[in-house]
Amino acid sequence: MTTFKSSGPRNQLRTRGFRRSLRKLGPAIFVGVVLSYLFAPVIVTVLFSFTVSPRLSLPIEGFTLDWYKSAFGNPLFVDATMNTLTLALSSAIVAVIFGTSFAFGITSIKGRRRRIALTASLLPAAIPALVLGIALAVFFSGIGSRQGLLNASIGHAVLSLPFVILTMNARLETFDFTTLEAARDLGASPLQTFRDITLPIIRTAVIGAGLLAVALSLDEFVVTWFNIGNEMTIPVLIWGLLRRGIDPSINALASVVLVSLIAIVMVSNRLTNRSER
Amino acid sequence: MNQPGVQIINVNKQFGTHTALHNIDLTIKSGEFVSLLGPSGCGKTTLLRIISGFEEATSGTVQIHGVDVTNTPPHLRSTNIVFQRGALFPHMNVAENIGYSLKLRKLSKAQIATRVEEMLVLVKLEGLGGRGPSELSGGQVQRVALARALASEPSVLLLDEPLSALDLKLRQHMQLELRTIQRQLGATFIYVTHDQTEALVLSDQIAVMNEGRVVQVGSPREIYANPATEFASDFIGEINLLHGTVAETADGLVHIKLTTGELLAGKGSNLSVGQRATLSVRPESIRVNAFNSLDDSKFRLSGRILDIIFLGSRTRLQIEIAEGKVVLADLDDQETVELTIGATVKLSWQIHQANVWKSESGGSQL
Amino acid sequence: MKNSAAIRRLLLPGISLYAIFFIIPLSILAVYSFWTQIDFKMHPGFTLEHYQTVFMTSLYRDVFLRTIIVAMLTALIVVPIAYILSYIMQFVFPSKARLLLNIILISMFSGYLVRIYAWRTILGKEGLLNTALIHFRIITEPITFLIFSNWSIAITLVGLLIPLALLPIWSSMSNVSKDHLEVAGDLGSRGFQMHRTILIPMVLPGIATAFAISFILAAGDFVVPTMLGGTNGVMAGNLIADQFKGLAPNWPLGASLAICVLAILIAIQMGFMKLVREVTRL
Repeated sequence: MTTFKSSGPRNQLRTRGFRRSLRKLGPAIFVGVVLSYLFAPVIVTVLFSFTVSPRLSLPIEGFTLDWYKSAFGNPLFVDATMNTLTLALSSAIVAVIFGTSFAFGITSIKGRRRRIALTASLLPAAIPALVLGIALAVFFSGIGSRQGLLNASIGHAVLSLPFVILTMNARLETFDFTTLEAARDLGASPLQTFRDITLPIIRTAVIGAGLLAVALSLDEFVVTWFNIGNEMTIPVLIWGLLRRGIDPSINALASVVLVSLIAIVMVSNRLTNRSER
Repeated sequence: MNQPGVQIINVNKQFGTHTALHNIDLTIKSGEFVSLLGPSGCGKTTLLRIISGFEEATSGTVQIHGVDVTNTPPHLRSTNIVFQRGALFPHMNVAENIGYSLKLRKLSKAQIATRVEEMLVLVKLEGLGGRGPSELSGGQVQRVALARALASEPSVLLLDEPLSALDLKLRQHMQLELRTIQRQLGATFIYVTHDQTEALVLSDQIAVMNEGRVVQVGSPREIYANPATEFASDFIGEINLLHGTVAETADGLVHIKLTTGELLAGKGSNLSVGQRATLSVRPESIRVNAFNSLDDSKFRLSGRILDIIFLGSRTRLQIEIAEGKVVLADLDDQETVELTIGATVKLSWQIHQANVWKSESGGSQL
Repeated sequence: MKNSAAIRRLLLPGISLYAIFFIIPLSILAVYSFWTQIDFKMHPGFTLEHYQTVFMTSLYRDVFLRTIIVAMLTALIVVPIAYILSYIMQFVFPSKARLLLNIILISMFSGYLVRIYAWRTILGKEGLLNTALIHFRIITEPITFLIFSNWSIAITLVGLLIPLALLPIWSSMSNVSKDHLEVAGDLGSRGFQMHRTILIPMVLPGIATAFAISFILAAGDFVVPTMLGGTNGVMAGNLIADQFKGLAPNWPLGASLAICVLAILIAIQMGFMKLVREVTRL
C-alpha cells in the first residue's frame, strides 16, 4: 500500500488509524454486550454471596460472610463434594479408557464407514439429557440396579464418551502410525511400543479429554438426578436448596466452585504450556 | 563374502483376490547393495515389508543368513527399516531416537551413549544429539532415521524410498553418502525405489520388478546394456521403441520390418519370422547424418527434425520418422551445429546397440 | 492383515458400553411407550393409548407446540449471535480470540443451576432489573412479563446456550483463513453476500451443530421452565420429568412423550439443514 503524500502526513495517519479503530468499535461493543449478558448471572451470584439483602435484591444492606459459613456448615455439603469428585473421577477414567480405545479402533476403518462410525458415537450427545436420564433410570430399574453412585457414574461416562472420542479422534488423525512400526522393527514388543511411543505422544490429548470429561461431570444435574436416588452431588444439593426457597448460601457455594474451577484451569494451562517445551 | 544374505524362495502374496507378488525368487548376497526397482504397484514395497516381517507371505519362505524367518515377527528379526518419511519418535530427541533399539536390548547407559556417538559421526550429525525431530531439516531427518536403524547392527538394512521426499540436490548428495556408509560397514542394503537413476547410482545389483514379478536381476551395466524385456529396457534409461514384425532371423541377429515399412536389424533371439516384435535403441547410440553425406550402414531410418533441445551435457533431437512417431537422438552439441528444425536427416546405429524382442502388450510406443 | 484386525478389536469396549447403556435403555423406553401401567406396576402389551393421549389432549399438544416455538426462537437467536461472535473473534480481533474464548468458557463455571437461579433473581418482580429500572425512574411499575413467562425462559436459555453454540462454530471458522475472505472480496463478494455465499457455507457443519445443540438443549430442558416458567411456562421437559419424578408417575406415558420429543427433534434438525442449504445456494 503506497503512502500518498498529502497535506499534513500526521493528519493522514490519524484519520486512517482512527478509521480503523472506529471500524472495530462496533464489534467491540457487540462483544461487550454479549459478555455482560453472559456474566450477569455470574456477577449476581458472587455479589450476593457477600451481601445482606432481603429477597436477594437491591437495596444492599450490608456485607457478610454468613452465607459461606452456612454453606460449609451444611453437613450435606461435605458428602455432596465427595460424591461429586468420585463421580467425576470414575466416569472420566472410564470415558477416557473406553473412548481412547474406540478412537484407535476407528483408525482401522476408512472412508464412509468411518464417518458413519464417528457420527454414531456422537449419539448420546444428540439427545436431550432428560431422555438419557430417564432411559437409564428405567433400564437400571429393569435390571435391578439400585439408584445410587454407580448408576450415576455410568450415566456420566455415557455422556462424556462422545466428547472423549471426538477429542482423541482429532488427535489421532495427525498421528504418524509409521512410528509404531519403527518401534516394532527396532525390537519393541506391542506392549513396549504402546508404553514407549504411543502413550507419551497422545498424553496431552488424553489429559485434555479427561479434563473435559471431569468438567462435564462436575456440573451435571439432569442424568444424575434421575439415577442417584438418595445420594447427593453438589448440583443435586443445590437443586434441593433451590426448591426449598431462597437460600443465599447457594451463592456462596457457587462462588467457591467458580473460583476453584478457574484456579484449576489456570494451573492446567500453566502445566500444558510448560510441558510443550 | 559370498554367503547368502537374504534368500527369498517362491514367495507369493495375495491381498484378497489381488495377487501382489507371483513366485518371487531372489538371492541377495551378504554385503551387497541391492535395489528393488519398479513403478508404483509393482510389489517392491510389499516384498520389502515381507522381508522385514510387517507382511506375511501367503506362501514361500524368507531366509536371512540361512535362518528361516518366515514366521518371525518384526521385532525378533535382525532387519531394520529406514522409512520413507523417517518416522522419528517426535517425543524423543535425536540421541534417544538413535539409542532406542539399544535401550530395548538393555544396554547400559554408557554403552548406549558411546554407540549413539559413533552413529552420529557416521551420518555426520555430531553435536546434534540433543535436537528434537521438529528442529531438523529433511536431510537430517533421514540421516537420523538411518543412524537409528544401523545402531543395533542389523544384518540387513531395508530402505523404503527414503530419499523420495527430498529435493534433487539433497537427494543426489544423500545417495552418495548412503553408498559410502554401506561400503564402510560392509552391510547388506536392500533399497526400494521407483527412480531408475537412483538405482543405477546406488546399486551393486538391481532387481527390476513389474506387476508382482521380478523381470530381471543384474548389475546396473548389465541391465542398461542388455535389458531382458521390453519393460526392463523402457524402465531403465531412455529408449526408443519401434514396433514391427520379424522378417528374418540369423545368428543372434533379427531383421525386423517396421509397421512404417523400413527394414532394421538388432540383436535378438528366440523369435520366429512373422512374430510381432519391438526394436529398442538408446538415444545416445543413434548417429545422425545429413541427408547426402557418406555412410554405408545398410539399415537406416529417415525423418524430419521436429525440435532441438539443449540439455546441458548433450543435445537432444526429436525426429519424426512417420506420422505421429518420434525418435529421440542424443548428440554432442558440436554435432548438431549444422542441423536445423525441419531438416531431413538419416538415422543409423551399430547393430549390436539395438535389441529386438517379442512385443509385450501395452508397451509404450514412441 | 493381522495388525488391522487387532486394532479393530479396540472398538469393542466402546461399542459394548454404548450397546448396553445407551441403545438398550432407549429401546426399552421405546418399548415401554406401548405398555400400560396399573397401580405402579408395568404391564407389557401393545397399546397406542399414550400416543393418543399426547396427540389428542389439548394440554399436551399446546405444551409441545409452545416448546417447539420457544426452542426454535431460542436457537434462532443463539446461532446468529454465536456466528457473529465467532466472526469477530476470528477476523476482527484474532490476537484476542483465545482469550475471549477462555473468558466465555469461564462464564459457565458458576454452574448450570446457579446461573438459572441468578436469572430468576435478575428478572423477578422484585428482582434486580425491576429494582434498578424503578430506581432510575425509567418505569414506575415493575415489569412482570419477564418472570414466569416464555420470555424469561428464552432469555435464560439464550444466556446458557451462547457459549455452547459458539464452540462448534468457532471450531469450523478457525479453519478459515483471512485469505479466503480477501480473495472473495477481491472477486467482488462483500458484506452480507459474502457471508451468505462464502463464509456460511464454509462453516456450515459448525452452524448445523450449533443449531442442533441449541435446539436440543432448549427443547429438552425442564430446569429453566421449573424455575422461571411458573404455571404458564410448562414445557415438554416438565411433562416428561413429572412422569418419572412427580407425584403420580406414569412411565409408559413419559416414554411416549420422550419418543415424541425425539421425533420432533430429528424432524426439525433435518428441516433446518435443508433451509440453510437453500439459502446459501449461489
